[in-house]
Amino acid sequence: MKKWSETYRAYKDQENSSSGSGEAAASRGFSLPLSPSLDDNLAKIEQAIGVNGDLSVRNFLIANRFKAALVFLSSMTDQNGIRENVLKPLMQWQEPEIKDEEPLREHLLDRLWNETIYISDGQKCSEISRVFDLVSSGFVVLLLDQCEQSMAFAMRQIEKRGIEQPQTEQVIRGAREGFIELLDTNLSLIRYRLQTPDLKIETGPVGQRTQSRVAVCYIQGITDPELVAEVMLRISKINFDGIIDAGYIEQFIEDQPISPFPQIQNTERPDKTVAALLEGRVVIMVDGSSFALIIPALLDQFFQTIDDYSERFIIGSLVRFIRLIALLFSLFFPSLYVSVISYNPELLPTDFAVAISGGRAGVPFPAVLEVFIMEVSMEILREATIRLPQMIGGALSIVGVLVIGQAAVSAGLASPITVVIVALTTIGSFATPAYNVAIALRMLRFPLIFLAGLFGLYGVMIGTVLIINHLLYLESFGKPYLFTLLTGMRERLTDTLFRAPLWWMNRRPSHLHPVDATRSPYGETQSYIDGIFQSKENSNEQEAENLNDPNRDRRR
Amino acid sequence: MNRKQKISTTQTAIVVASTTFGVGVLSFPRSMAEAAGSGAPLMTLCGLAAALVPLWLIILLGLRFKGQSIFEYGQLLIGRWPAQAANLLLFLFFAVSSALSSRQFGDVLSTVVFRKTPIEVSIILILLTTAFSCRRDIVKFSFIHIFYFPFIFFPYLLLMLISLKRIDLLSLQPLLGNAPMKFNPGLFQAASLFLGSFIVTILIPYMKKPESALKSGTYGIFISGGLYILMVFSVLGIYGSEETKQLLYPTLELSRSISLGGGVLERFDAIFIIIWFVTVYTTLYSSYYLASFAFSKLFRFADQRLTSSFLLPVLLGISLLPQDVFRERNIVQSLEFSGLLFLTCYPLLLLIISLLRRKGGVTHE
Repeated sequence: MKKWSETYRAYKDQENSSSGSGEAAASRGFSLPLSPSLDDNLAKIEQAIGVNGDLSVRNFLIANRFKAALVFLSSMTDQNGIRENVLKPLMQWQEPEIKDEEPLREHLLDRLWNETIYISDGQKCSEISRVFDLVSSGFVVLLLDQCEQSMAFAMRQIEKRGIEQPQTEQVIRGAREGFIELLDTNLSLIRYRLQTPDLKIETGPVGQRTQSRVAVCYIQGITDPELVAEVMLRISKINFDGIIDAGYIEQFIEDQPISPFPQIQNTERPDKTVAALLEGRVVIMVDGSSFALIIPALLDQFFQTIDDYSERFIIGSLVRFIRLIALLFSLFFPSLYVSVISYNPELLPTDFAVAISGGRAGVPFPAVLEVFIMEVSMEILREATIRLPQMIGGALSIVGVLVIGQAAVSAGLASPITVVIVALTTIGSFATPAYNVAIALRMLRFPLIFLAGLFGLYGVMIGTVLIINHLLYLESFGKPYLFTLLTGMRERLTDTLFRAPLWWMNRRPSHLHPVDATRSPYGETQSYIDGIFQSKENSNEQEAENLNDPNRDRRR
Repeated sequence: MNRKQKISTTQTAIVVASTTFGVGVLSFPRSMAEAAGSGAPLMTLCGLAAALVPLWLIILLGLRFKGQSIFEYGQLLIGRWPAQAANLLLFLFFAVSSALSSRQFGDVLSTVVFRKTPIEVSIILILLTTAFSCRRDIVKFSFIHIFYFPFIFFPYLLLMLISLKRIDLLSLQPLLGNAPMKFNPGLFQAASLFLGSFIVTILIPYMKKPESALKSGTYGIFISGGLYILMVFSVLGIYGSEETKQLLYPTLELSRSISLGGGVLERFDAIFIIIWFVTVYTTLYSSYYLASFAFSKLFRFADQRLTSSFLLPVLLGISLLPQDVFRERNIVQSLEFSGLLFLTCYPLLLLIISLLRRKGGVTHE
């Protein structure tokens, strides 16, 4: 360990010596081949990335005479594995009987790879810049003296947290597993749920600096090839220095960035991801992010959860209706209240209208201002509760309810009915499963409140028409955002407001243009109820077809 | 990637229905009662039948020239400059009629809802709302109609059904009316309600099955015409023809007189105005869209995105020209008459010429 003062001096010296970026790039030797001398190569590597505290260079001899070195980042590699599977066999390796020096020197790298090293994944590289890339992405690079090639072994090991239940998407009935930050773990979570050779995963780096691995997953033979191509095209166009989270990818590839509504769904749940893949969607995952992106996403998808499907269909459908009502509450309730109170009190039954105006008697503000103040304070409370540590969070919500509810009424700041309205609105917005849609709708209610204050019901209607027209205009990867509610008759009947029995949903959503449109082999239904209407033998002797068979007929 | 989206037959019918069911809803029973007395429902039916003629003409033309609208094949048939002159007339008709619809809308709002708000505000609001949504392609245009159609159709149907129990059949008799029917304003007024169906000319190129356009256009007219007839029927059945003549907005009066759900909604009229707003919006949207489309064709722009914004102040100006409701009504009547005449004769002329010159159709392909 160097002292910090020495580190500082070394840093300053380095800065002075390599003033100007051109020199710095030249010193890293971009696209230069490896030089035959080991010392030369090591010097270059030390010069370029050697200042890092975690770069390790281990010099040793192979068969007592070939000089070799292992270069790796100690923070990203499996130290134990290097010792056991690379260093130990290499140092113990004995020269074969034939003392033919020159050929051995030429073939040394191949022979080492073939005979001694216990690593499953490795690659050769002969450019020095490639060595830098490999080292910084967690490879162990073996350099040999008098050899213009090097060998890189995949020995990445990164600390990871355990697989936990996702906090943002809790379900009653469904898997308790959620994605974590490591891409490989996430892919394995998908793989074991979807054991078909048709599941394709394309990976590649995105981001000039971070080189984050981005994986595009789809099922070949189900997903529309044009959709996959479009996704890959859009990803390839991303030109940015760093991809920190899947959300970065989302913002770069979505159709309409200037919109409050998300056009790509994100999820932490592997089961939801697998269901989306099976429907013929494309999934994007990023190393370092625990969210998968589902493409394309239509509006109704954001109101579906996995337990709509795992629970029986009547319950699932009813729950969806409740969610729709909650959505309408969270968007329209405050503005409707304002416009009815200020412009059209005659709409209410007389007794109720009298009770409301009695409650509002002590409030000095107009209804629109009163509702606005209460809604804003509710939003502040909600935002504050997210940031607070869990210990304090519970306490704060109690204080918030007391202060904002009870005290505001007795202080004459708000009327009791306003508090009821605001509470219903807030609770309604939390019933929406997807946070990003819920917050979009929550924010849109503020312009609606203002329009209600200005023009009453007519204003609310104008605002609604504008919102709906915007939704009708939106597209997610060329698919109309409201397709399922608008023109997709079969999708509307089976999987939007009403969740039909699973055996009725035997065709994939048509807007995804799946290669294989049917989910059950011949569109045959396999439930007990449907069996009643068929001849007995037929219903009993149904046998599931092997859907993984590549030679099977596919119906478009 | 961009799979071309198309419009289905049902969707075309819905667009036609929601376009033709529009501004006239509020005052239409009165003008029918003025023309035909208790024969108003029959007069509406005649108007419906008369309105089918221009619609069929335009659809037949559209079928002969697939992939083109009247603004294009007109030039093919009668030469560039005469066709451009006709296109200018078409543009003027739709621009003025959308301006007057927004004016009528403003009139209702300032007499019923915002008694102190200047009429300009309500007109600007609805024109702005429409202009925002005119900047999109025809498929998205049809989406808007399809989405709002249930919110128009079912409330009106509900309104009629609720009022059914109060209908006195005696006030609908005699079916032919006491005095001889005044076909001159009556038939034209009824038929001109459906002039918005001209929108099919720009829909046909985007249809999945253009050959079924005739069917969908006719169904569309039948849906909206059926609603109109039902409405005249129930308004006259409740108020009688003489009282209907006295009411400025008979349908609104109808909605005022009913209540729903045992007093949960004490009065229906505020809700009705909201629904009526959507009704006007879809109609205005179609004519505004047609106007900006025609304008863009007139000057050979790529699409109507630019022209729709440009038309906004023009339409606002035209809508403020009539000084009071009575002059406005006169202008509307003469506009409807001339529009109906032009929209029937011009396609008829084109059809005859195309038959004579053997242009378009199956043989030409």
